[in-house]
Amino acid sequence: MDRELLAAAQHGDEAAFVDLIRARSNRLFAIAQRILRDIDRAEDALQDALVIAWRDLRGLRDPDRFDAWLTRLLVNVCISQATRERRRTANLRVLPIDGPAAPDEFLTIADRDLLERGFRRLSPDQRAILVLHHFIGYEPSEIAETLGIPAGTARSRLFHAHRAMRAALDAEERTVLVGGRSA
Amino acid sequence: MTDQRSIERILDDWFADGPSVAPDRVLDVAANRIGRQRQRPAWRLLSWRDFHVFTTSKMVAGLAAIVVIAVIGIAVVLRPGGSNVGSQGPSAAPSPVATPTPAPTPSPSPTVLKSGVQGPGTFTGRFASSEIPWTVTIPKGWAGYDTDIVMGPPRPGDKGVAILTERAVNVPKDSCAPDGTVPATSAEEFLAAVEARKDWDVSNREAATIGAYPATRIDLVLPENLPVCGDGKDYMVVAHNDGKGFYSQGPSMHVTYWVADVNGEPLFVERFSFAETPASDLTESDAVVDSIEIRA
Repeated sequence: MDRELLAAAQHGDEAAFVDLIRARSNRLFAIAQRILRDIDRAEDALQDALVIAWRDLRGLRDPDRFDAWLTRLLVNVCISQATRERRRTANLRVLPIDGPAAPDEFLTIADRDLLERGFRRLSPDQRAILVLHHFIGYEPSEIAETLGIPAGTARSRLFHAHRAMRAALDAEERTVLVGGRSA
Repeated sequence: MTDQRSIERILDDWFADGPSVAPDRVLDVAANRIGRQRQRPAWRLLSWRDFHVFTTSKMVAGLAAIVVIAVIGIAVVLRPGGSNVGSQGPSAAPSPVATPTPAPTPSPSPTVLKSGVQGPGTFTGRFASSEIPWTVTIPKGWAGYDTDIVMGPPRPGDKGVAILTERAVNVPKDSCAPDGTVPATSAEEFLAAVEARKDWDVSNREAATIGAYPATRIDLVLPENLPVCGDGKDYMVVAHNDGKGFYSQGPSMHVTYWVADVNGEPLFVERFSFAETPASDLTESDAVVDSIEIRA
């Protein structure tokens, strides 16, 4: 069915393309939101990716690669958007949150805030790799294929993304503690 | 201190929790934008290698064509007086004047022009946005794209060449805002629109033919620094009333138009190329254009 829709879409059938992406929009939106951490920007990124996908659809020669191709397009749009956003906000100081994190609960609001801040400190590439690995469940080889990088590079970037996230969380924890004391 | 195992578990849980339903407006807006966006002909974007997958069936068809040509050739040579220059009988038609450009090798009969068909061969397609049939002969290394475009040999980067067909188009006044472009009603109207684009480097007109029809040729070079249209819009070279059409494949793209009034309406053949397109490809493209027949 998807193959028929894809073939029709590649011949300019807009309705077929919309049907094709309707079944995938939730998953794609979730990926974009997790990379960009912002619903409005995730909507913009998904729209841009879908328009680009429509425009370049005729360049897709292997129908079995459609999902991987679409995911790659979206991730690249997200990385571009996050890079632009990062430049724009590079000079903004991250303010410490109010109060210390609750130590006993797993993923409390404070934990999530820590994660949010730590994640935003990562490069867009690192964010995308973490989302592909932890949300989509991609192995480094699949991440490599999606991002168009060698598998060894994907493994290395994933390792560094984990390390950066750990460091960011540890740094944030210290910031919170200092913030809590000084409040 | 966060260890490796815990950070992985934390991230798994954190990413699993979050919005997972796309708002309807995302698809609505995307569908609206798609409706204003023509799909990329992509003769530059496509993976050229994909066009050169030589399937067994194509190989068999190619061998069969070679056998047919060989048999016909042998029969002609063996026919008394068949191939001797100057030995034609009095009833023979006058020979056509030899063309200065190397003519592509035609196949025995035209086949349907579509994406992926390979030269050498003669193919019949349809002018873009019309049912007007055209026949074109392309040499080895060339390929078809849809029913309205043939593309030169694969050249990475801005070195390609393609021949495109169109009708019911015009040059937009603003290439970034092509909506509402009024289609030219005559070759003269179209040429005037081309010449009105002061941001393009436009040549003088030349008399030419396209198919058997008298035509006018005009060449232009797009700006080196093409404006960024924004919002995913392309820089349109020609456009229909709805803003769709053919768009620039890169900065400094060279465009050649052959425009002919056929049965009261202008038909367009276009060549897209670049300064770095090999001269041999351009020579072949001249022969390809010369081979075009229009059955309007």
